[in-house]
Amino acid sequence: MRGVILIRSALISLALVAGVSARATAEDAIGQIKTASGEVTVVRGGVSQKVAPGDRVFQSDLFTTGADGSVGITFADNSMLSLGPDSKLSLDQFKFDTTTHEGVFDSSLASGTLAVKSGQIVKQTPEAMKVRTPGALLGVRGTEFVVRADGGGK
Amino acid sequence: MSAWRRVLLALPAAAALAACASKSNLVVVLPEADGHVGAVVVHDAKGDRVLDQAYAAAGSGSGAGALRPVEVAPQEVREIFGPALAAQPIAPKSFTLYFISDSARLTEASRAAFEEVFAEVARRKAAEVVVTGHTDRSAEPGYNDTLSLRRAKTVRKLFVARGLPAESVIAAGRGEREPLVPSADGTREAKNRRVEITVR
Repeated sequence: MRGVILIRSALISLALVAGVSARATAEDAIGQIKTASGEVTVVRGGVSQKVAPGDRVFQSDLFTTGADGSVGITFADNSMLSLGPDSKLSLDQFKFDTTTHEGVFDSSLASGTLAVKSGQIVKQTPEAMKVRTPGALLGVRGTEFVVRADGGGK
Repeated sequence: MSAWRRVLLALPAAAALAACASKSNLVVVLPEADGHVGAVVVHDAKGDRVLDQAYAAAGSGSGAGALRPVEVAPQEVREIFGPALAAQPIAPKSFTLYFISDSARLTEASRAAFEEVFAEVARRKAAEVVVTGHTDRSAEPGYNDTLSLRRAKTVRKLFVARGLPAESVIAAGRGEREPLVPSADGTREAKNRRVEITVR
């Protein structure tokens, strides 16, 4: 009897954990991978994994592309970022209110090439989207531009 | 050798040299598909600078020095940023469908137009759809909030029925807050009885 209760409570806690994390996942996603080719990895919560079109994207994700890699992401405010080969990009901060369109979007290109199309956050608040490089901070007023960073001379 | 020939031969060499000297770090503003040109403000050790012309650019050599204005040709952008530009997702596209008064039933024309929206979903990899419902001002705001959400959910079901994963379709109601056509309270306006659909 006691064993049954233990198993049951273990199952309930498992279900709770699974339920909570699944919900957090869906709600916390800030965008989605739309294109990916060659070697592309994301480091999330200290774990490195390969990415594919359809994968969700989260704040604090760090993307790395290999010599043959490229990846394109569309975000919740319809902004888009895409990386060329040998690139490193971190999604430092993303907040977006779907009702007011207010938000912030900060990312950092440590090295490589990045193409940007801004979305509703910038339309509502110019320069609420920023791209940091080793030498400069770019305030985005809209909408399309490209950036290359050589990795701070490394 | 003709003067033209010399110029043509010298051009790539000059471009390559310039690229080495001052474009290891580079930012270039691009014209949009519709010809509109946006702007980027460069904040760095040298202060603030606005780039707001097509192909306006700032660059620096290897290292993290301040960016200076540089000349960049469209061809050079394609060479340096080709793979990044090729990886850009298809731009999000928006559609509007209309409803019969005080109902979550699509008008006949909009039922046909839904096929066009679905074709846009089908041509994309990993498509997501955001459906936002709206109403006219012929009822109370509270009632309209519910009605707008019902409209959004009705259209959401159409996508799910066609095989789109439920988690890829977001439905929200905005009530009478965001009319397409301004109208007085209590009036009917067919253009405001709608859902706006973004496919991305």
